[in-house]
Amino acid sequence: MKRHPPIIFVSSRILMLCLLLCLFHACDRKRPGAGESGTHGVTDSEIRIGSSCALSGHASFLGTNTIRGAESYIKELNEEGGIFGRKIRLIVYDDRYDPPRCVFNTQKLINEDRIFALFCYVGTPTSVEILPIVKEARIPLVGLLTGADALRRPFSKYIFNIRASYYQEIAAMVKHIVEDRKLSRFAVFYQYDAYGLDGLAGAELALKKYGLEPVAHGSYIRGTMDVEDALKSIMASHAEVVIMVGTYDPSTKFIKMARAKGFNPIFYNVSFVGGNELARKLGPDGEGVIVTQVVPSPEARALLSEVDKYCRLLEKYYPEDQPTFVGLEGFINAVVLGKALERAGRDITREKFIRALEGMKDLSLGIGLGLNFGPEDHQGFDAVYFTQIRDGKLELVTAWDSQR
Amino acid sequence: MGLTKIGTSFENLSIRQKVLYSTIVMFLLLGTLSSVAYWLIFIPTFVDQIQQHGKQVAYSLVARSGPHILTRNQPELTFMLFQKKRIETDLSYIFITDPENRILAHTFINAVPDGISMAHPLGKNEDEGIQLIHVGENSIYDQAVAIKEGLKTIGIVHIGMDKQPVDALTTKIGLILLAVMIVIVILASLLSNLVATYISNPLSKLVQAMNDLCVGVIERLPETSDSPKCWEVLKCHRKDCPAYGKRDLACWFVDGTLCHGTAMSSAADKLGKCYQCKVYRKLTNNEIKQLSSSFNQFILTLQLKTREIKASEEKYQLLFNYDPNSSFLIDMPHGRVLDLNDPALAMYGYEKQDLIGAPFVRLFHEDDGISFLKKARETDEAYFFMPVVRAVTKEGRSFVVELHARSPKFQDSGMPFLIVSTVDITERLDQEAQLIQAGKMAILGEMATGIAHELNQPLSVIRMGADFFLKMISRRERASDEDVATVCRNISAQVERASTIIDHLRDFGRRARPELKEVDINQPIRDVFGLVGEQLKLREIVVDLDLGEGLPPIMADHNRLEQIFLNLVSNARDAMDTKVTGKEKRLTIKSCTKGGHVIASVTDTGKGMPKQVLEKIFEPFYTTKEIGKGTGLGLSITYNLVTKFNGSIKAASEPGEGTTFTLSFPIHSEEAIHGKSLVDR
Repeated sequence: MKRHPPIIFVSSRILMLCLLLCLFHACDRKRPGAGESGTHGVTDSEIRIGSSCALSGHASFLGTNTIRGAESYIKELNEEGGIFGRKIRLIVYDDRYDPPRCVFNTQKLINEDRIFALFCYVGTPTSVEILPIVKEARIPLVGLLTGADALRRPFSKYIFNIRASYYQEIAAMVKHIVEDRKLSRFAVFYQYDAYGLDGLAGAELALKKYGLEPVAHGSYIRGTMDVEDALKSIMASHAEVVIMVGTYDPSTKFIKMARAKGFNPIFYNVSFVGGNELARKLGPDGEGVIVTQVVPSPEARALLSEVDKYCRLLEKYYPEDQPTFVGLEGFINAVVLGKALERAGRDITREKFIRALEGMKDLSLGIGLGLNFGPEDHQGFDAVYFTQIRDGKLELVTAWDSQR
Repeated sequence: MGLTKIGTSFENLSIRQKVLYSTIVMFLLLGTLSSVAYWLIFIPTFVDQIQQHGKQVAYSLVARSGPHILTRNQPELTFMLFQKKRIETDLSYIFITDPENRILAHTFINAVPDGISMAHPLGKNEDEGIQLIHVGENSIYDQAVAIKEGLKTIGIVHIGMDKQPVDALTTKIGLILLAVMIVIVILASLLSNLVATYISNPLSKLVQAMNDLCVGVIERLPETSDSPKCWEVLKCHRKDCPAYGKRDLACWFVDGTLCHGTAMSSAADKLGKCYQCKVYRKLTNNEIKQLSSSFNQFILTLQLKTREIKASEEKYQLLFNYDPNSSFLIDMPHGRVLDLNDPALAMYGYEKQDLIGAPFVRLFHEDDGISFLKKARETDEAYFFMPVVRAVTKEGRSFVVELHARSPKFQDSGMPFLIVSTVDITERLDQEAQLIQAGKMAILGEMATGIAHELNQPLSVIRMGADFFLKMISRRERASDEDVATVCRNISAQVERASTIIDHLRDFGRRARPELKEVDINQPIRDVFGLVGEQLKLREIVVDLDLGEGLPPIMADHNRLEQIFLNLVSNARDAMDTKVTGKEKRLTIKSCTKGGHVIASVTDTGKGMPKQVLEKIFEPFYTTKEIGKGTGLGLSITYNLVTKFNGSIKAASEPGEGTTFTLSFPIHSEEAIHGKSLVDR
């Protein structure tokens, strides 16, 4: 009998062809639009940069100082002629450290102000909420005044963190206390939101390295001053160290009440607390409180040129302001932004801008450290500085011998 | 029309193709049905589900957005929408408008599409609605739900559900279905191919074996698997059973098996019972094995029968070849030699391959061949005979044969053919001719005295004339010239007569070449009396010739006819020799025509014959005459000669009254000439 394999062969081929055509057809129908990263926010004369942060309310110190630090640099840059003749216009909306406002502001910045990039967001809970928007709008966000892990992992192409994370800060602090001071009873006081919980997780991770766990933790609600319960449970645990992940007002209250009750462990705060304001508000109760910083001290003008420039420009444009750590951070963020805009070239696009940022390798910014970005690395600095309040002032700690 | 054509085409496909195509068509139909079901049932349900979900989302937003609308808290509204959208990732947008369709909050990031807020306005009394709107290139189901404060509408929530992902999903599912279908069809094709192969391979082998069979290769199929052995299946130990231990023959085909209830019956009788037997049933589960087994059995039987046929054929071949006569098998109507035996080859001096397929008439003189063919083609008889046919050997030597042809009426034999047997009769003819000659001589001898009388008369007349002349001379008389002339004329006339008789005798006695001619039967009769008339007169026999006038001719030889009549007359004379006194001796010869024949009868008034003699008179060497008086061959030869002229001779006799011989010859007509050109030589 004759064999007829070609029939099966041919028919199956025809079917396969149909299938392939269908697939191609399906591919063709991928949703259009959605991603012109183009040159929104760039005109011949200006580059619009948007920011939303707390300019009023209980965290206004952070936002205001950050923005003023940044503005000092940007104003100077604009005065010097801008970038390829374009002036940088920083549009800042006040979100009062309130996530809904931050989202609304961000939408407005993108939608109505048509900004080129987002810049200098302040605070974890606010910044976290705009992540989906940033991702969908494909807008680069440079320089966040928060060390939250959620802004670092999972990796986002559009988020550029310049400062070290809370995890890094807390890990450095825990290392110092466990190894140098041989203490092991840690408690965690935190703000009950994305920021505080991130710090709690960072503390737990850092302690885990030494086989430790927090002996207690207490929290308060953002925007309130209800720290009594937290203090009560932490005091009951006889903690030797209290890791504090909050803002300056509740932290101040917590430390003052603790001291009043004769509870004097080591109080340690992460950078976001706003060390300068904390020291000011604590007054004498602040003696010995440790704050980790992610930028050098603004006191170090003599040593670092950029810090000197910050102090100089701040004095020039905001004469009534004092240099602060947050302010310096905002300034440094502005420096990175400026350099990246310049490196992106005359025909700037968001993609070019991102590539320019990612191309920054060991970039010296005059603060004694090199900045490093890469295609898979959007974490600029890893440095953590220890400061301690002494006589109402934050002092950089270089050696721990003189500790109490 | 078309369907019939498809039906016919399908009919002509091989089993493999039939199974394959049927499977493919079946699965394609199945696939089409499921696709139709998919498009008609699944997709609308699916779309409906999505829209229902959209509605739920919208209502959940309605419940929560009221306070923010009343306080005009856009950031909270926006945040709420974004949070919702973060969960409901399938939604393409959410926005809330005031009753005048102005957007209060939305989730558009890059830009609010133009006119989107007016694309699907709700009617005054509508609480909800869904509508397909077009935003740029996208088609979107816009689900709108009114936000109420009491009866007053304070805002409207719009949920956008991109149609494209729905389409993409349904397309994807459709493609997956299609792919699954294709895989199933391919698998099914492969499977059906396997099944078809499983079925068709043994069939192909069977067909192959059948084809081999058609070209004469009788071979059994190789045993694919062990066919059931009855002694194993039934645990039978009867080694005297003919089926016991037979591996090549299934037990149900074996005659006289000893298994229960079927003892000693033939295979044909017991087969019905065998169908119920579990030995047979072991095989019935697989019809193809069954078929192979039956085929093998058929081949076995065929081999057996073939052997029998071969043996039989050899036997008959022997018979055929041992026949001393030449035998031929001739196909009709072409007249070609199909087969011939060894004596035929010897007789005609040919090699077998020279003659197989050659025209049979090649073996004969042209005329005789033509007449043979004519006869063979025209005759309806199962047998015909040609007494004398001139045959020619390969070297060209002529000889004479007699030819017997039979056309056997075999059952089912499509081709008519003839079995022809030829016998060389040259020698026999020679002997016959000698015999006839001897008979002639004998007759002449017998008639010698009569003939002497016949000659005596002219001699006497001549002598008288001579005496007359001598007397005249002695008398010294001179006869008148007229007398002399008269005497001389008489002498001359008598010499003429004598010489005629002598010539006649000589002619008669000559070994004449027989020639068939149209002959008037009266002529030889008269001639006979020219020879023996005088003699009869002497014996006082009255000759009564009653010859019909204007008789039609017959096909015969004058000389031979004369011999016939001379013989009969001679017998009549002898019969009337021993005459009872007082009875008239009368020889009557009549001739006439009757029913297409010319009849001649010779009647004497002699002593006649008794019946027992009458029966034997034509046998050779039978005679009633005294020893030395007759040869006993006369009537035998007469009979032979008459027969050769296609005539017949009958004798009727009454002892003491006389005897009548009646001869009958067919009247010669034109047709008869072709049928017979020569009867003697």
